[in-house]
Amino acid sequence: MIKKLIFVSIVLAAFFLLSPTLSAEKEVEDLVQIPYSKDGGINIEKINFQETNYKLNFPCQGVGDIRGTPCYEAIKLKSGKFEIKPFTLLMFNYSCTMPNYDGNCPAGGGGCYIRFSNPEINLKLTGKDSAIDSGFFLEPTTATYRCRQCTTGSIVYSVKKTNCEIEISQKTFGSCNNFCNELFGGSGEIKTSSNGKKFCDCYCKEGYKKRKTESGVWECYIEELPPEEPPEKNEKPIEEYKGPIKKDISNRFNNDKKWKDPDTPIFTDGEELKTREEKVKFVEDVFGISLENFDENIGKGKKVYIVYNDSIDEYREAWLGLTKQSAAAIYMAEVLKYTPEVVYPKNSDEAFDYMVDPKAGGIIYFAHQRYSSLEEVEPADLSSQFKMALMRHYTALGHSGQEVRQLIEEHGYESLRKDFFLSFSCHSADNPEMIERTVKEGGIYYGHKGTLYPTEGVDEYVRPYNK
Amino acid sequence: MKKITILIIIIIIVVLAVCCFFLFRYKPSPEEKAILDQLNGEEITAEKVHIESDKVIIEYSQAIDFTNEDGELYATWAYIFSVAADMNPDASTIIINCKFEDGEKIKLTTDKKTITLFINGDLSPTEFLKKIQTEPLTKGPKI
Repeated sequence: MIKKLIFVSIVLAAFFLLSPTLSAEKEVEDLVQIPYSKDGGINIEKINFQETNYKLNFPCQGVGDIRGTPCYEAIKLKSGKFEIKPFTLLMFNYSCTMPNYDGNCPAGGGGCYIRFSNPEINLKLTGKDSAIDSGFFLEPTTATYRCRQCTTGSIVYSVKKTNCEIEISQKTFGSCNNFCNELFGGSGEIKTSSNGKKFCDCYCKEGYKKRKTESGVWECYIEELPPEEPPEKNEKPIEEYKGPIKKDISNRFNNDKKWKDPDTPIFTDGEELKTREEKVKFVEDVFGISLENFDENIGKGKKVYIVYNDSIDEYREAWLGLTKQSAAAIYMAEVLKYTPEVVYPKNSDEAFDYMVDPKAGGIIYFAHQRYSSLEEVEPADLSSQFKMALMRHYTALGHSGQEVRQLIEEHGYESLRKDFFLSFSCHSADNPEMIERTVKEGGIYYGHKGTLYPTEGVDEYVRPYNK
Repeated sequence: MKKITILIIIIIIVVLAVCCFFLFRYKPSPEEKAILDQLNGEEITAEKVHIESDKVIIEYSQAIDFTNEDGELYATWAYIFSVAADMNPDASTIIINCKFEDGEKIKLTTDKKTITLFINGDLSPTEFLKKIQTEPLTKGPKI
């Protein structure tokens, strides 16, 4: 435990001790040194120079090619000298013209050159100094001659056999620090080179960096922040919703009567079915049955009631719509030439009333049930329900009791005797007695054994003849 | 010793499970979030929005005790389609994964053109519903 504490203490102490050091190093890094170079690098345009003009006349004292004749050695160079104050920047401009020979000078020779030398001090000249030092001008010439960093000393110039106008500009800064501050806005420091000569080194102020411009001069600058990254190509501006509000959409649905009409097929996979073939295929796909055994005109003049038992709540009905069972029921009636009528009986009596209607050739029955039945009446007990429903039917038509009984006997009530009966409900085919109770001989009963889901189909059961 | 090993393994599994949860959990993009916010603002329980190249998929939760006499269910779908299409001009197909609260799911698909016609009033609600493709993703409720 103690060892752990000691270790943690050492780590913490080391961290706190190192923190200021790291910080100080960072400060030093912010000062960027402008490297010493003989290649210049000072923006002299920024300097407010004091100018001094010198007009000098150098009489001819040599003949011929001064380099190739004894005259060269005999030339008496005339030189001038002026003092340079410490921490001074110099700039030279000169112009030389060849004078007329006065007879003392040999023809064909001559020229002019100007040379600056500074044997005494560390006078740093720009890169062209050597060229100008040995320059030999046969025509009038103007050149700018600049020195870079001056600390102290004097300058010597020599001209022969010509008239020259020399312009020397100078600016004395007084200290290396002032020099650097005026030129770079930073600070300066006197340093000694490896050969023992002194020079002034400049540093950019904190937060600035150094760089060399295209014209070759050094400058300090604030690093520009990288431009904001343009938005990525796939990055799109967020659209504001400009469409209708939900309430308006609800109102539109509420005001549209057509989708509420149960006889209108709605969900048909986004396709509008027009031809009989399309509708037949749709019905066969959805219910999983075949309609080919039906006479195409079997339903002429007859109805098909599509009955939604009240056990089919809105949720289940929505599913029957979405799984296209509702549309398939309507199309099944249509393609067999029946007139479809969707009904929602309020009670079992009303449901049986629809079922026994002699005009109805077929029934499609949607119900949620636990066993084979119609309105929860098992097959064995259905005949009494059918009989009562027929009584209601004929009575409603205005027949007397005697007539009603007679009509019922003629019509029969043991079976609905429909062309087809499609019971889309759980367990609808569990009890085979459902077949004879619902369809006539040769008629087709459609049902499902066991639990039925709206995504499933029904099976086909043909009632044999003589049964 | 064995108990400690088992404990360590359990801890590692729990940590990994937590990391995986945070790493792979659904994080909507700004565009997807804008749609979610718009739908949730209308009390639609939108859970996920996925914007793919030219497709927008919205998953939302739907109560099953609805009354559709006034078309409330269908109006909800139409509104979701409208929002997804209007807020994604590049999308050509909009898909709704309707997740009923009993776990049953159905996929509703339609195209941008149909939605635009509906928004502009050039398509009636009935005509709009007829253009919707439906694909059950589960068996549906027992009949």
